[in-house]
Amino acid sequence: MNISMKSGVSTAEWSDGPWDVALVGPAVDERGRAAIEFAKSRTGTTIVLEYRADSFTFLVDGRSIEADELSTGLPNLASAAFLLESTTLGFVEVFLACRALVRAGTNGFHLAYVEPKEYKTPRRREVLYRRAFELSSEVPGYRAIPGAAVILTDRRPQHGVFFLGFEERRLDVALEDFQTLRPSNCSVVFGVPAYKPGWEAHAFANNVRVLETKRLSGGVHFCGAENPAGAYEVLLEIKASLEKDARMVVAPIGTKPNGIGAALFAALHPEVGLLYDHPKRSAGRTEQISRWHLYHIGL
Amino acid sequence: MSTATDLRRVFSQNRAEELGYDVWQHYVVPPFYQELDLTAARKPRLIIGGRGCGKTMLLRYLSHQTMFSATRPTIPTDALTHIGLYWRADTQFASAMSQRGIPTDTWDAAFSHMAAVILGMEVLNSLTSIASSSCDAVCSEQLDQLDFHRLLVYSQKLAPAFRDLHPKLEEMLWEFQSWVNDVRGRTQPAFLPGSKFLQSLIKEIQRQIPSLQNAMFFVYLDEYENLDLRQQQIVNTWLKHSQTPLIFNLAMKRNAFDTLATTGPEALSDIHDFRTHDLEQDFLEDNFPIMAAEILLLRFALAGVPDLPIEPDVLRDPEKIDLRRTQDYRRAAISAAKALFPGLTNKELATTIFADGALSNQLRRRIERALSRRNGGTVQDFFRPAFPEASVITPALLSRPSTSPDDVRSEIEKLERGEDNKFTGATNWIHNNLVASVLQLYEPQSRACPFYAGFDAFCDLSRGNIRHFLELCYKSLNRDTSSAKPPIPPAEQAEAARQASAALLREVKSFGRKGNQLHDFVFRLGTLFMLAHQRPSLSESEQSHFTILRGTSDLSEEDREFFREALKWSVLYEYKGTKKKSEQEPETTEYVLNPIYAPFFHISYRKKRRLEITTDDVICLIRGKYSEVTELLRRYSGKWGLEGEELNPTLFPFVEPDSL
Repeated sequence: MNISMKSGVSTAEWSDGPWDVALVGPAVDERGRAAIEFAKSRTGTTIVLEYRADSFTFLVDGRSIEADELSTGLPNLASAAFLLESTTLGFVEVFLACRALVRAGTNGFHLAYVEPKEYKTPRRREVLYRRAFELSSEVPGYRAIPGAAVILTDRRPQHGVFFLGFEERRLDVALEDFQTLRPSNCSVVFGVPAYKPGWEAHAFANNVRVLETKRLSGGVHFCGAENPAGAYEVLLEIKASLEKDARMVVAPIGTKPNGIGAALFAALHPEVGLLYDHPKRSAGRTEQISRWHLYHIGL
Repeated sequence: MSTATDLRRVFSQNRAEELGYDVWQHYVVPPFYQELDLTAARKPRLIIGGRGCGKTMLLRYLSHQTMFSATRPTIPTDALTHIGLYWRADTQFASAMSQRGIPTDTWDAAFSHMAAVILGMEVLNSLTSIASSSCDAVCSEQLDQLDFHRLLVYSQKLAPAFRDLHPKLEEMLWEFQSWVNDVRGRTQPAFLPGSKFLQSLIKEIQRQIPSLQNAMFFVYLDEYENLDLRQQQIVNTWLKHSQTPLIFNLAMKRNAFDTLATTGPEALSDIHDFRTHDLEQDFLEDNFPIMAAEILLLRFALAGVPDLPIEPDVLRDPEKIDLRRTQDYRRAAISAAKALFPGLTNKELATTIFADGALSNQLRRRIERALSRRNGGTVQDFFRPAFPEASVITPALLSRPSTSPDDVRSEIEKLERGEDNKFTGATNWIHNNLVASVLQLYEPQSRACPFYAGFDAFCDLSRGNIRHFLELCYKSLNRDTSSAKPPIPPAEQAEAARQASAALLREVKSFGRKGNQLHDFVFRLGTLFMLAHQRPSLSESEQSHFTILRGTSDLSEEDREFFREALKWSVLYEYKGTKKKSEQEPETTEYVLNPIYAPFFHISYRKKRRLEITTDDVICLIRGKYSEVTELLRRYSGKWGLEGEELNPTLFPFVEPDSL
């Protein structure tokens, strides 16, 4: 597999596309609306895809289907040109769509992502929680993703990899819920360089308490926040370093491009498990647009 | 000889999960162990307790890995009548076993199958533990001769030989996992029939190894509450039909037993089907200081600290509990713990104010401000370094309309002359006001108040939470850079308590689905208590709990659910009201904020006086908007006569400084 990436402040110069099918999610902010607009402008068919973690179902253009049936719910997976608009799609949608495409034997597909210019922080608590970000309005909690659920047990070597973002509670809850993951067997990955200089400090500061109190000591890794290929490489590297029969689980709770790397990795390595907490994105969580990214996955 | 590094290493592990399954070396058998009646019981037990109270550690102690630990010197003959099988279900994976277009009865069978496979492996592991231990009931040759042919009726994939059966079960588990991940693409495996399979496995073992004829197996299912409702019903069914030689037991947080229903027509019935042990309410509240002291001293012993008044082997052995019951032993253990983590007496606490320029200036200013509103007296009349405890509380006394400056001066002079006075004696102003006064004086300072230091304070702050207690100790050891060994200076302990409090407050966000809301609530309530502590008169000192009065709105079902969640996660503790003003008043419930958050908000951790809040204000604290909470806090600030100077804006997140 290879991942080629391009980015820019606008898409005006890009000649990519047209695609046959674009998968998009609901927009919650300005960049999401712009991303959908871009997808629609260069695609024959646009499908709105939304995953419901509590019922393991997808809404596909408003029609409910079982998550296990996504392959049959999407048209011409093997032959059509697909664009996955990952600004608006959630992680699970990206993963299960990648998995369906990989399984169908596609030669490749594209993913688009739009970086925000700013994340909104709550006005209150400026002194105590200067770096607090409320990017999720509700976090239902870690719930299995069909296709990437593994039984965690400390009777077999296992290693957890956590991609970290701005919301510390997501790592905290993971370590609380998955206590069979020993702190010494948990690695963390920070998105460095961040989208914008200084933003990496938010991720460090917001997660350091959890890293310290839970005594995580399985290694710290870095890869560019907007770089899915880097995330994929880090995972390959970690996997290669594990004991032969060790089980690997990945928690993509950092940036979306890192999540794309994790989704591709899990789609191509079915033995790898995913841990995900299904946050509901807050409306208006970001402001304006910074950069556009287009990733091509060649298989 | 131990080093500071050894101590930090030993204290860095504060969760049972970090210690593995064999916890023999690390476990202190609780003094109430025999009262739990776990080893002799034949009826299922329900073990309840909040986070960090030692549930998981107890279950792991009861499990075969510990009971038949290779490091356990001697194993009693009756150990075989209690072979513990610890199971913490992976609820994340279990969540995938519902819906998805698969019939409920298929998922029921799948969940039972998973339990049969996992617990089946545990039964086999327990035999290996026994054979490897000093118990001579079973040897490995006997295990090699076991023949499980008869089990093949359940599945041809099983293996008849003992050494082959475990790997086969493991393969079945991975096959099962693959099917759960791809229920459309893979063939459904043949399911083992849950507890029936386990009963058969145990009976086969008993039939072939005579020394295990009376062996009993106890499953301890940890974190039961995280299973989904249907899976809880399946487990309830196993519990209801528990019978020798396989008994199911559950462990969960308080208020987490959501359903008593089984998959059959009959629901579980308390007492008839199981016995409940609430570790915190029934046992820890009365025993916490001695338990904390013993756990602390065992850690010091493991780090190589000599001359401690405990014997690690005695602490680990249930047969030797009686040796630890004597008053002399308890006194010696607690004294040793206090020597390692010394606190300050009230007099020493008051003296710290005079030993520090900033604090003594703060005291002068407060006296001066109180006097500016009254007639009579100078600062020097009340600022008396020779009587630190009396001096420290004078700002509060001078702020009370009922107490004139002349009265206060007259009483302090009586104290000086050694006559009967109100500072001590029956009125005892010092006793009632000292802690609150010291907290007020420290509040605007950057350093932590040493009220939070000392073994006793750590016990009170932890309130039965062993993990919190160990975190306080760990943070103190990490801060103490002045010397390689304890005692840890109180100032360092207090600072460590503040750090631990802040860290544990942030952790609230991770408490279940309502974590964010609970976190906001603690912040709001803590801020309200912080305001209450700043009242110049301290007429109601040390308010850190509340009771709810009826307002114009009633609490909704959602609000009550929120309280249940707060109790489940030990953010709040619930008590029956203690201070009825008349017999006609209905019984009230008092809610105490978890004292571990007290250092962060700079409030008292002691349950002294309660704050009465209306339902309207409670609703605002639970789900009010930012502006509504700000308004509530402003209203209380006004009611309590707080002015800008009494408030430290950097610690006052809900009211912006420019509005004060």
